[in-house]
Amino acid sequence: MARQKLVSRQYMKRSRSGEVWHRLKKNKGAMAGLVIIALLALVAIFADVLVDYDTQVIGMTLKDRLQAPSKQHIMGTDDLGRDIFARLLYGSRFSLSVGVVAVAIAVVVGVILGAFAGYYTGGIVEDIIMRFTDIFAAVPNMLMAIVIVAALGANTLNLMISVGVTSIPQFVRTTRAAVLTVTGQEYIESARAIGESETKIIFKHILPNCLSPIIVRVTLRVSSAIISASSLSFLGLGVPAPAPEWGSMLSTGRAYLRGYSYMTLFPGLAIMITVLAFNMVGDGLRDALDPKLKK
Amino acid sequence: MDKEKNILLDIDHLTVNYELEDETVEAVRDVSFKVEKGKTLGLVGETGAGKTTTALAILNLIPDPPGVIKGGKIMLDGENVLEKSMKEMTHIRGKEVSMIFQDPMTSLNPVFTVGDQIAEALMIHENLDKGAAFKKAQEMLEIVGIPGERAHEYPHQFSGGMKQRVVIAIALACNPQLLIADEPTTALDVTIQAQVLDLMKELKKKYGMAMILITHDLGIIAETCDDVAVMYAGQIIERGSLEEIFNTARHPYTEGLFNSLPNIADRKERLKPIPGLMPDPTKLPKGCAFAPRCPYAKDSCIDKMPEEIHFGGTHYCRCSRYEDPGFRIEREDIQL
Amino acid sequence: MHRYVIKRILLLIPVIIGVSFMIYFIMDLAPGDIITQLVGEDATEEQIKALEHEYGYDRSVFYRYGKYMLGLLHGDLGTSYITKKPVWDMYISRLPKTFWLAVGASVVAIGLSIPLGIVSAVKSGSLVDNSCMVLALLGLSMPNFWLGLLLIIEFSLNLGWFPSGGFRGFSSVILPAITIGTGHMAVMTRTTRSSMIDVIRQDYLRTARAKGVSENKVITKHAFRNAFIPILTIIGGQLCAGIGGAVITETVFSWPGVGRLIIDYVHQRDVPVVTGAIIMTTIITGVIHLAVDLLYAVVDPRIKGKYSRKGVKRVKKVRKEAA
Repeated sequence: MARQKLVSRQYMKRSRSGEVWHRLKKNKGAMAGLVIIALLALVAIFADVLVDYDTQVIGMTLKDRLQAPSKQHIMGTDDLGRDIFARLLYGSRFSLSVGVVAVAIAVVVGVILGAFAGYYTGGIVEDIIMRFTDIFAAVPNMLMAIVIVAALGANTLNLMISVGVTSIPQFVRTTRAAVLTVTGQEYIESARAIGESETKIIFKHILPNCLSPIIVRVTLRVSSAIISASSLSFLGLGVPAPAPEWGSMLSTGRAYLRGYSYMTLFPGLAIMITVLAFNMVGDGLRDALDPKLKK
Repeated sequence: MDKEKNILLDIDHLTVNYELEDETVEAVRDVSFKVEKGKTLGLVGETGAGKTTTALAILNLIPDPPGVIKGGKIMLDGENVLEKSMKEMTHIRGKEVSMIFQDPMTSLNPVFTVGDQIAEALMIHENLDKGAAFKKAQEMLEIVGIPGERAHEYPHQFSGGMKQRVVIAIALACNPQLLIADEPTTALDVTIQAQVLDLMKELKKKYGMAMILITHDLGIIAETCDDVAVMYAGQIIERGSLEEIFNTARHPYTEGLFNSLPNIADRKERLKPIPGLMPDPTKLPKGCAFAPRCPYAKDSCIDKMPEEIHFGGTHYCRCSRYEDPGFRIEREDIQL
Repeated sequence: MHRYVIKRILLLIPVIIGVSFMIYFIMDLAPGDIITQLVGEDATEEQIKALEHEYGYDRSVFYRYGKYMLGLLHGDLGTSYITKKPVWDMYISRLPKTFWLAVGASVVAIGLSIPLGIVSAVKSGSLVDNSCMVLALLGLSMPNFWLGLLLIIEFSLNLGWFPSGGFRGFSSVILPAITIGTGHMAVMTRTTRSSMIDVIRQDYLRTARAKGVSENKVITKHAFRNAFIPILTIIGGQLCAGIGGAVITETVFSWPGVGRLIIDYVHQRDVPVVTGAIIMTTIITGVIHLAVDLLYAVVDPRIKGKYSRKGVKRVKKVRKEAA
């Protein structure tokens, strides 16, 4: 009882987004994650300025091959004498862009389908969308992605498409569940009563109120998309060589486990830090958007 | 001396705080009272007055964190409950002292049969094996007016009133000496309330146990209790026998409580609610907590913590105005 | 109850048809000519024609799919283009290896995460809780293939405790099981914790305490049973993912399981093998989901009564809440 009072007093005067931001700011993990993501984004955007693609990233220097970390090459060199640190910096482009684009695809398709399925419950629209989602979700994500990339051919765009497409069911389900809850509210009833059009109701009144679970899902999904994308590259089904994708760098490192473990260590660390950053922000957002979930 | 022997529960200067991150709620402040064997004490007060916290303290069940028992003694049959180990406490809970909670809809575990839930108490305290305990559990169900074969059913198959009967059966399974009933009928329909209350009165008589009945309903108090303690903002502000409290209430707050009841004899009369709200429990005033709402308050009430003023027998109240021997509240004495 | 089970099994049929259709078409439409791959470069025109006819490549994809489904109706998963062996035999020979890996991973995950999740929930906010949650977050963020490689470097190459790959008895299961189990563990610890935290606030635990149940029993018996459904959902989901083949981990450890089977034949465009293996995965996954749903009723009696008629909706709701 006293606690309720406390919460309401503390947040009474803020707008909702301000309130969420205020709570997010208090979460050290989420803030650290945001900083890491911002740094990674800067590195990805200015990768061309930081390193020269032709000479440093894909240019081979065979006499320097397989060098352990040193002052000159702080993370060592790979089997073709390329500086691993330079390649990692450039590789941030692939991981971030694939993660973000794939989730963008999934969000656009998934949210629209989920919104319709949730709004037109009990009808044929819902049935078709949900049965299709069920079929799609019945195949394990990774297998589905593999089959799609294999069919389309291994390149960066197809990697984005396959990871994106396999993420659609999650967004359909999350959105539908959220829409179902909101549709039951009385203000939707009143919007209908004043004769607003159905699409307007869905996109203006319902979806904005379903954002919390979708936003949380997006951040967490970016992190798993990054893992999926680098996994596919690791399998040779992603970004083709010689591009410095982190997963394919790991795949190369696999042949040099004995004695050259640094080739495996650094790309994996890069993936993990990136994924960790998105996970921390996602967790923070979830707690900030829904404070009653926390403790 | 004879009377001392009859004391079952003796709470002495109990103080409980809830320590939150950046503030402290003073839930129970220096509460003392005694309960005699076989007698019923009514604990009255608004929501948030500290009634439930006081009751939970007797079973040492205050959620910790954030609850902290700051001081005081709770003597049960001459032994301080607060000094017991966790293990000793489990022998007291359900055996010596049982408790019935406010909301029967949520106080039964949904995944076990009601029979198992009653039997569990018997297995812990009476050393019965599973079969014997279940059989006894069925008998208990019969006693509270539920057919024994329903012991195999789950809580969701029972109505609210039935669930509360099950809760009562759990509480009484091991013949406790003291039953604490925390608003046992508040969550029930009015017609069911009367049934459950009658059942409790009957069983209390049958088993000869003492009872602490927590409620904000003065009608229930009048029907059930021998003694009454009125709580406000964590303190007992008036205490006495049922007759003393109902006939000669002394504290302005108690007076307010009675005044806010509808008067059946005079239907046109308007209700007289107590103005204002209970003070924020994190920022209690230095003096009398009721002073800001009290029609009789003087400036001195705000600064000075009132002492207990006794009126003979067990009757006392905490109101500094009685230091003036001529002070009287307006309420006329009513004959019950 | 029986009606419910039968209904659920029947509902699996359209899903299988949908999945087979989708996979068959995607695989079939993929670029690359399977026939030239099969006959080799110096094949004569007649040989190619004959083979095209045999596999139905002289007709439309619908004809080939129809033929495949007709076989499936008779319990025939098809025959591999490449090895000419029945897909069923190929799948079944791989299944036990994948099964043991999935079970091993679940044992690792369940054994560690449930106690950790419970302790974290009970001592929520404490040092133990915070460290568990940080570890879970790290586990969640660690790519499987990297963890697998690190384990190989340390425990196989450096210490020589376990083999670095292949299927050679019990000791070879350990590293891949830990690899998969770590990710599972992270998710399950978090689920257990949040589910327990929801339950710990419930009134009926106070009732249990008030009747003298010891604190340990309150948590392990009264609270955990109520918190178990979301955990069960996660276990089921992870088992399903495992049965589908942990493609990545199987690759890292050269594990001859279903995942490797699929990825190897995806590369070679062997439509029947990939479709057949994925159909089998769908069926087993469906059965696991059904088993999990039936277990819900064992754990929570409130669900049981509803399986008789309107049960499906309720279960879906519970699962959604759990997710």
